Amino acid sequence: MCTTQGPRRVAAALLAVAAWAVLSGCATVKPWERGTLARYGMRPDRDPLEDSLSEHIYFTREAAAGGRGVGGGGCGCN
Amino acid sequence: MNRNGRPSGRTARVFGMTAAIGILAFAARGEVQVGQALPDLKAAGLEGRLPDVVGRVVLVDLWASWCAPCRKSFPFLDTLQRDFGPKGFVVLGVNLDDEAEDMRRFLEANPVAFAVVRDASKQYVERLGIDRMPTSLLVDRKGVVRFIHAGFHEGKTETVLRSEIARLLEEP
Repeated sequence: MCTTQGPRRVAAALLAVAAWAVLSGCATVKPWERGTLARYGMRPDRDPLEDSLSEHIYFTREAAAGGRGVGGGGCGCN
Repeated sequence: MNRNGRPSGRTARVFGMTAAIGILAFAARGEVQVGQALPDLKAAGLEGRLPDVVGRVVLVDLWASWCAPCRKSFPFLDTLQRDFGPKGFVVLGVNLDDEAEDMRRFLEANPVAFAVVRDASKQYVERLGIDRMPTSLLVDRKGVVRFIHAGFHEGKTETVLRSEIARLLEEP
């Protein structure tokens, strides 16, 4: 007779409930729902001054520059 | 697991049911594939006037005013309508903007010769199940989806679509 079955089942059930609770928070943004993401205010390079300052800091610390841009815009198109 | 290290009947049943649910969920996505009939446009509750598509080759283009490649594709789609329209070809733009005003403003600034309707409820696009914007579905004279093109790449997209449209127009 195995006496560890009960706690194991409880642990498995708790794990399943925790996984369900965490995974149910994930949602896929569909391609046609990305209008807000494509707005100008969502762009990381919307402020030229802040962008140049950040780039300067990055360059002085990393001795490298650029490589931040992503093609296709904020909507993730193309 | 049983003593031999093999899955017990119960474990196998659980795995089987999980796989079945996964397969059913995948099948229920409603994605339109090449070779399937285009879902009925008239029953989709689209806003705007639908063109006559019976017996014609149709390019259904799903777009939004906020989508940069969609905007870029518009002059090309307009050229397609002008070039192939007299041969029995129709471009139908299906707009997916959340606000009708955004679509109206864009079309005012960029007038086109082809028909544009709006899928306000997004039911039609949900049914088509596209994974990129813009997506163009090329439908033959019998209403069957024959070619699906996702994205817009100047030159490449233009060449591919032109050759596919010409091929479908030659079919009876």
